Amino acid sequence: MDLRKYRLDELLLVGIKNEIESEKVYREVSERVKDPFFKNRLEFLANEERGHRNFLENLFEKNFPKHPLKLPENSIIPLPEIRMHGESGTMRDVVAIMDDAMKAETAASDFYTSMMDLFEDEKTKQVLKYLALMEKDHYAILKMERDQLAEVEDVMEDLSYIQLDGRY
Amino acid sequence: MNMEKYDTKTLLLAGIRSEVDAARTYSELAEKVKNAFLKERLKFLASEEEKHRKSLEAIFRMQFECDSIELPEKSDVPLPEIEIKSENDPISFVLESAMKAEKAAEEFYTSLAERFEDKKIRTLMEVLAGMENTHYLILKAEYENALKFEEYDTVWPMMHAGP
Repeated sequence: MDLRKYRLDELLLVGIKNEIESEKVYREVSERVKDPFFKNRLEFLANEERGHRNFLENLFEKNFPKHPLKLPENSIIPLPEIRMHGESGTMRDVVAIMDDAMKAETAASDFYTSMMDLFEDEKTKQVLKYLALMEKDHYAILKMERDQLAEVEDVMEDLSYIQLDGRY
Repeated sequence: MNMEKYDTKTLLLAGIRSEVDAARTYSELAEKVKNAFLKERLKFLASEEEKHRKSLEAIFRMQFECDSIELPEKSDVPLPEIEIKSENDPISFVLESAMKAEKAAEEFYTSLAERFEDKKIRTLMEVLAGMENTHYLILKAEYENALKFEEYDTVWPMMHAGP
């Protein structure tokens, strides 16, 4: 991904906006699904996106102390978004959301890898590389969950007898 | 892993013991590490192992119609544990040991699934196996990061993960 034509402040704001939107989607889907394991994993992904957002906000404030942290309405970079499909929480909706999420995670990983070239500070480069690798892990987690979703949905949503937590 | 010589009760107890130990180890490690992202990941792994324990306990109670479960001090089944020899062990060493334990746990649940005729229990065991595989992948990624990044377990500037 060639990011050289964009300003650094714009890129950081795009990154922050993306992380906020990803976190929101993961939290909303975690509310919809009944499988307690899947729910826990979505909450985990949401928490990691929050951590990424915190890092990017700090990076923005460090580099642009006088700029207001104002998020753009629309992203200047065409990164794939995770759209909410339906409201029913049916498997088809959730699979569609996960397909979007996998694309978004891959793009986020490329985005952070490309951003590394824009910084000279070695520590910032390292953290960006680390974020890129974390997004790849997210992709792997989503892929595994997506692949087994159809196979185990009936069983995993009917585990009332397991009493895994307070919801059951 | 050859599990033929063990009965299902012994294997379930070994699984519960292993989940209890893994959850405790991940929680303790999470307290010690400084890398904020790794800390959150270890807490997540601990939370999943805790859920696995609850699942296994529920299955045990259903299968053997009992209310209380007496766990052995030490597992009768030789499952690899997460090894921490010293406080000074490099984090990469501990992560590598945890990877081996997760891989063994995946094989353990895959084999254990075959013992059950109940479709729901079999599926749950297969799901647990898949989850242990994800744990392995997360730990492998962190292990590689630990080898790659010089300051992996220090407080990277500006990095505060978590909600």
